[in-house]
Amino acid sequence: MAAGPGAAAGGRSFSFKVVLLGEGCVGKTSLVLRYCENKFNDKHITTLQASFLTKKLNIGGKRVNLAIWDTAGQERFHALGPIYYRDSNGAILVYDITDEDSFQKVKNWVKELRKMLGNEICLCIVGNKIDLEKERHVSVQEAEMYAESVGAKHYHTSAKQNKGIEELFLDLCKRMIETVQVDERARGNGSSQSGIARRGVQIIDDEPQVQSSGGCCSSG
Amino acid sequence: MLPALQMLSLQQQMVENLVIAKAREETLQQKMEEQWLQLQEAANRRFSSSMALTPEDQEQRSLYTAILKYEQDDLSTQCKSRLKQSPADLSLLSGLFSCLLSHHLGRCRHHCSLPHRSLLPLHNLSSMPLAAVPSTPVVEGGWPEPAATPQTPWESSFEDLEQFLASPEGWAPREPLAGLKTEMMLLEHLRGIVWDIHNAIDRLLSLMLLAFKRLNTATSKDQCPACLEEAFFPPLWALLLALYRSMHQLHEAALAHSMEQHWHAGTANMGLASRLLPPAIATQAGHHHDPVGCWGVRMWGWGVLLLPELMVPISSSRADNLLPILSYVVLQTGLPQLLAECAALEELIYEGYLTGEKGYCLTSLQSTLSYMESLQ
Repeated sequence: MAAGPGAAAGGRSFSFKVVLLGEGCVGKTSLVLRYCENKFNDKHITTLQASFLTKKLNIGGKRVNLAIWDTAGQERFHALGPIYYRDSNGAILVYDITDEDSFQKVKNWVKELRKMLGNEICLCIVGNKIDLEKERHVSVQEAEMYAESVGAKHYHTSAKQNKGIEELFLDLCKRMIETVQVDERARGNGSSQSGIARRGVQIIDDEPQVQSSGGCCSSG
Repeated sequence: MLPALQMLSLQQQMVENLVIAKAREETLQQKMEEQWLQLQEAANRRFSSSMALTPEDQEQRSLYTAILKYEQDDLSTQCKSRLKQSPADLSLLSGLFSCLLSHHLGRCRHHCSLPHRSLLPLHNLSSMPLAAVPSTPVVEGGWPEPAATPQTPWESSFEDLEQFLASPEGWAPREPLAGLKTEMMLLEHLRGIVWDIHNAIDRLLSLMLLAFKRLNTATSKDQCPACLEEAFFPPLWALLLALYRSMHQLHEAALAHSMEQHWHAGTANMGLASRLLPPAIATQAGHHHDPVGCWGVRMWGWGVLLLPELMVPISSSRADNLLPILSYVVLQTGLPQLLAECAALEELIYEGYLTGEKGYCLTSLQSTLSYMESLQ
């Protein structure tokens, strides 16, 4: 279970949980469907549906399993956020560039996430629907400055035209890997962490080791 | 005189047969002993024998020997050869686990009985009856018998438990929890039980991987915990659930109240568009039809984490639709104890599943329940 931090960086695999947040109709689901299944449906009557999707990546020899959790955009379910985003390694906060209000909602989410989860979580602020550039109501400069001020990265995407999405997820994964590794180094040897941090990121050694002692918790 | 002679020769023959049988039995006995020694040697080879033996090592080694022995019996061999033919078949794997846990391996069952034992003393603390524990499994091969539990408290509570298991809805605790102190003790004890269960499962898992090398692949490793849980929890589940329900009494009462209040709420009140309803309900809008079967929710609780066909409707719905659908379904089930069941699942299932699809389903159900609880 406990992969020593000294283990060679190659041949490791990471499992990350990423939560999608944002107002309804900003295109959260479209974004992730485009990314995981390369599908897009323009019509509002949705035939393509998903709320949980996974994606496997290989970044420089490191294998990454992404579990992407979609959330409901309706205001009345806002209070349920914490149940969904706890133990997340990353959050993707989506707004619609034609909808100023949806950007305000993103700001609220950022405040909440920083308050509840601190700096452990990698934040991405995503302006979606750049295919509707003409109707833009959120200025690029404002959005980017805001993102920088809260330690988040800003991205522009179009699920419809499949723009910026690969970059978004790839970048997020790299940042999450980095965060885990920094965290590991800070924790030193990180011995017997399995009992405390029952959930969250799991790092699995590539080569399954035969345990010669009792189960992993029995010595604790 | 002929019959007498015949008798005599018959008797002679029988005596000879007996001698032969005895000799055969002895050979067989000897053979089995040799076999056992060989198996023990094999087990010693499997573990590096130079190390100082901790009690855990010893336990694992003897368990491993027992498994080798067991493998020579027909059941497991059949399972194994079938597993060899179609390694991806999940049902075979779970078959193997349940037959390992429920049949020959008394020693394995010893692990399962650990949580049982720690659940027992709770009876004294909790107002929930927790007594009907199946008698401790027969322990083979010199394992220490579990410490005898005091007989008095649980005799009387069999009635309670029977009553509770028969109709959990109508069951009311005899007396409320006696103050904060009891509650703290209960919580403390519950932590101990959860720890015990995690421990027992971890040990069983590593043992399985040790004994069946074929399972040592990524997919099998992913499936193993589910199969193990499937075999491990059923005997404990009623007890655990009773305990969790007593811990979540107040929430459950609030949820039950809210369910009652909204029982007559139309589908629109739940934010549920009519096109999302199962056909039977959509046509009979306004009538209280039983949608439970349509959505498979009656299998929720324990089942949801194990039956993939139930997860499909959840993780393949759009998140915006999911909570209204689930709210409606939960309301129709009229089962406020889902709350305690979810809490138990969250703490007890294999941690690797919590960030995956199963975890997503559980979280969705939990958030639905907390949403319902907040509606007043």
